[in-house]
Amino acid sequence: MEKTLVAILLLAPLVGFLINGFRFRSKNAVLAGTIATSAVGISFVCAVTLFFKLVGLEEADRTIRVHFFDWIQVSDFTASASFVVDQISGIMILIITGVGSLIHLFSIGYMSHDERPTKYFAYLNLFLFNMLLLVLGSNLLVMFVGWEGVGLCSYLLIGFWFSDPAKAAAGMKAFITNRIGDAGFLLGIFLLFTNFGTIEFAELLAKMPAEPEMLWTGPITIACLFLFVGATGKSAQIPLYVWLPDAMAGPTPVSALIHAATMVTAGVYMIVRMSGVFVLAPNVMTVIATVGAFTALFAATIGMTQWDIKKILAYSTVSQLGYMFLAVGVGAFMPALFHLMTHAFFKALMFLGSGSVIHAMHEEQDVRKMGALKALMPITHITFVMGWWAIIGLPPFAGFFSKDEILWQTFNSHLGNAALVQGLGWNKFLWFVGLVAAGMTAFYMTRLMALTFWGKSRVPKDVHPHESPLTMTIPLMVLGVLSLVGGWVGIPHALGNLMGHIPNLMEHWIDPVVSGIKIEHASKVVEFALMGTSIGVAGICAGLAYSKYVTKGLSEEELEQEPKGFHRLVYNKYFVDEVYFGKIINPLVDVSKGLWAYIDVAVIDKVTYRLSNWMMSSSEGIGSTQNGNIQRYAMFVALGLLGILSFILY
Amino acid sequence: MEFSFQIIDFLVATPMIALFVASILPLFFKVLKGNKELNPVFVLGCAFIGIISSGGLTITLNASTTYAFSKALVFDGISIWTNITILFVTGFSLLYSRENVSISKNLFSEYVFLVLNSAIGMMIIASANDLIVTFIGIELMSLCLYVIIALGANEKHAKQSAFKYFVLGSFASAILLYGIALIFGSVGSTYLDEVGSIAAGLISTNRLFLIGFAMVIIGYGFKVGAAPFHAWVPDVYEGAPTPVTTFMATGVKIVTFTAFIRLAATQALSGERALEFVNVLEWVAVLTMLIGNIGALRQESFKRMLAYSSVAHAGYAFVGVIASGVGGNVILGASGVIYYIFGYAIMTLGTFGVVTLFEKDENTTLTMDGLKGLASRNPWAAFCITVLLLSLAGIPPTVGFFGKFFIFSAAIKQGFFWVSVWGVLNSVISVYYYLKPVVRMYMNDEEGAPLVGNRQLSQLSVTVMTILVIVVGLASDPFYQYVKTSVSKLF
Repeated sequence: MEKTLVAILLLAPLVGFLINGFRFRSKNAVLAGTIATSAVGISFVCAVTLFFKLVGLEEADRTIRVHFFDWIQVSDFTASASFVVDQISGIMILIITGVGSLIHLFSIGYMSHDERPTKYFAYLNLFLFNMLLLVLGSNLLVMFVGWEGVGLCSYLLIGFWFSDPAKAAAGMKAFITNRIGDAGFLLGIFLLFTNFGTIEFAELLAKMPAEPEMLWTGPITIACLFLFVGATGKSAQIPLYVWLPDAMAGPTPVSALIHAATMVTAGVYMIVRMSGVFVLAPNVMTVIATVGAFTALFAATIGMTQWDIKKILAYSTVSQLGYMFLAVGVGAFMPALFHLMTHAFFKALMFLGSGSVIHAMHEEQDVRKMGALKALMPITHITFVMGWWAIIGLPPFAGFFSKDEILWQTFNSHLGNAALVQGLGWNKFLWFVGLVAAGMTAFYMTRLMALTFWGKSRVPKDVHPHESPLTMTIPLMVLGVLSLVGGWVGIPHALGNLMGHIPNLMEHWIDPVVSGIKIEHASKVVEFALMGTSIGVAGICAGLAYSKYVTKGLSEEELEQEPKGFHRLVYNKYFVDEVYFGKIINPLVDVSKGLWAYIDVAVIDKVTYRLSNWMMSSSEGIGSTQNGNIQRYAMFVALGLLGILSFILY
Repeated sequence: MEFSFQIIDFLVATPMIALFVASILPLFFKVLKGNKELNPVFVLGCAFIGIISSGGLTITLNASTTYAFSKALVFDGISIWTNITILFVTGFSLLYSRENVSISKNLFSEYVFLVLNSAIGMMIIASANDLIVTFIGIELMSLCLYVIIALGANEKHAKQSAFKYFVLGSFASAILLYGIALIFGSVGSTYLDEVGSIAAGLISTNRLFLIGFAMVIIGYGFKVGAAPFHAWVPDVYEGAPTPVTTFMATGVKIVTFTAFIRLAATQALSGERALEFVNVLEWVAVLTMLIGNIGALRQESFKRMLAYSSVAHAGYAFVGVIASGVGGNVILGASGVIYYIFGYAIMTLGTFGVVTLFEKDENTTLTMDGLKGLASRNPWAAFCITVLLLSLAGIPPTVGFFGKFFIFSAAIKQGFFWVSVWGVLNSVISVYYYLKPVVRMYMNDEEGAPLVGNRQLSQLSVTVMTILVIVVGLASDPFYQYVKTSVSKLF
């Protein structure tokens, strides 16, 4: 029964991909979309059924393991095609198929005028199949297959409109950046296998030593570092985040599904899945937490200066992913997964909302040319407000609960304080960085709202925005509601007790399967104080942005003005891309060109051509012995006989 | 020596008897009808009834090792496997013959009779435990083949090929017979199991036996086209009607390599002083591979290219024969050879089938340029040719790759490193001429030779072979395991 369910869950998107893939020339967006959406719908039903089966199981062994076949068996290396549904992957499959089916539905409307809708839906289904492989795989190899598969689909979808060279280049950038991370991930897998002889998650955890590794050179530490390099690639963290903002070149629903809700969270998922390994490498945990916190801050500053609606959301995604890494870095695995879930809801909502806006504005993405869309697009506006409320972290919306949990646990954690920075109160510092980033989040999101929906209209005269069709607004409404209630499964104890003992369902659900910190004797006063601080900071920053962009408004001159000084640095994304190109990529290309001209052409080609010419002339020689003369052939036989006999006799 | 037949002897020989009865039926009816040619469908029907019943009888024999006719014939796993493959290639060769123009239509009954009797000869070789019986089988097979080749519609080519093959073949038969005589002289028996018990010792001490053994190997080597006894192969393969070439290239190779394996099973080469002998055989294998592959490089005729490639493949399989004859882990080499030659039969049936698809009369032959632009004219045919050629080149996951893999891994396990290196290098050379047609098909827009329509049977056969190339490659393990268990009874 479980086996069939898992099989259908996995195969439904694959079948959808095959059907649409074989009829890829069709231009019927509705038909292709219906096939693809129903495939994901079937998966969603299976996911829900599996989830409830999981709920029905005893807490001690709340795991469904399904073994399909032995995939590779070479001496002591075994990799099986087996899958595991437990508390972690149970939540992931719900998010992937649930949000996924909403986005598929949205795409039917969004892609209705496209040239190649069938191909688009085929890729989308293939992506979901690979994503499900990634989260369900019971060993690192199956996970890696999914990991590569989602990378491929991401590349195909970012460069979906490949006739535009900039978009094709964005696809390549994403792919290549991800490959750098993947190389690290693969090395991490190799290291774990050589040290522990298995790649099955369960066996790996069972073989872990009891004491954490304090050295930087320990095998677990190095393996975890490599795995984290993989995570920075896929989940867009410093230094490999550069591909994500460019990835916005793809169709907007793709940004919502792949580059906000699902694929980019793969790195977080991987670390949560292997939490038992990572907690044994406290040094790596500090690195992760620090990278996460600074990514959150760094991306938020860039987000404050951008004009492209999708770019703002992209940097916001990078920033929110930074929060998740901060959380896993301090051992707060439950809040990380919790934030992953709520972020999937509100960020998918906002991306789809921006898609609705872009669709209405005839492919215009510059917020300077929008404004006052509130009246024209009421549903999009209302749902967008819900997403905005959630992301800036104001109660009772989802983002408040998850983000606050992260900050609170960061403040209290004993992890994230490696030997190097011990005694500095590094976790308090990280908390402060997170808090500042939260303030900035409130600022840039309010700015986005103000410039897009509120204030005075700056819409060009020839554009007449209109509300989007139902296939597009229904997903918005569903996600809007989820952005509100999604956080209620994880109400912190302090608040829950206040409101009549509402349990923290999320914590109860996840804690048995992850290692990590337990905060036992933390003061409730501190918790409320921190909560108040973050709400206050967010509120103040939102207010600042409101007064700057709505109350005062922006004059045309201000909008056109070139940014100066520090603002210019941030506006140009700290020139990171330029540095990468100037210091790393171009020198590499130069070296490769040298190798091509001096090694490949001058040496290797010459040798091979010489060899092949030599072969060709010997072929001529053999051909000339074959002159059809039967006496000569008989002579060959006789000589051969003589030669062989004389050799073996003497 | 006393000979006595029992009913059991005839029972185990029923597959051959069934084939023989089926082969004379059309001739019989032809005489009754006053020597007027019968409906070819009827003739083919008789032949297929014979093939299928013979196959069925062979499978029912699938029991433990059985000797018949005073141990002259042996029915064990390897002879059953080989007999089934022979019937398989005979059937498909007949399908090609039905549609090919170079097969004379008013002598079709005689043609089928000869093909089936040649197949009986092959089955005898595959089952022979006595070198004399092997010789009889080879002669039965070859005599039928000489006549079949001469029956070709293109008088000049067919007669020339038949004559060349006949003269050189007789020469080789003489060498083989002389070798058998020497073995009998030194051992006092031509039974392989009796020779086997003392061969390893004799080869170091008895020079007559050594010469005899070498001559038998040379006689076999002529049949598979091992260098320097290969010279007839390109001429005869090219001149013979394509269905006959198919039959020769597959059937003769299959049974001669089976005979090789039976000879190798005597483990004569494991003797201490056989080292130089093994060395010579390694050189023969390398030379065969090199001549086949280098000779094929410049061929513009598709059929002649395949002929050279057939020489090269004999060289690869020969490496396995050596690995199976030197003691130690011999089963790997032997089963590698049997698997390889089975895979080679599939690929060859497919590629020569492609050649017949292009022959609109007896004087046309498929050239490399004839394939130009085929991918746009007939994508399916182009795909089939590509898969078959990739398999011949040994690209995974096709059967050709696994065949080479099994053979060379067996050779390496037996310590034949440099031969294996030569083999792999030769594979690299071969990729050039196998990909040449693929390039012409896919990267050339010019108009090449047209496919001849109305060849459904041949098209179907080519398709079946293409699918088999992939299936037997992907599912190589069950096939290989089956071959391995069959072969292991021999040692």
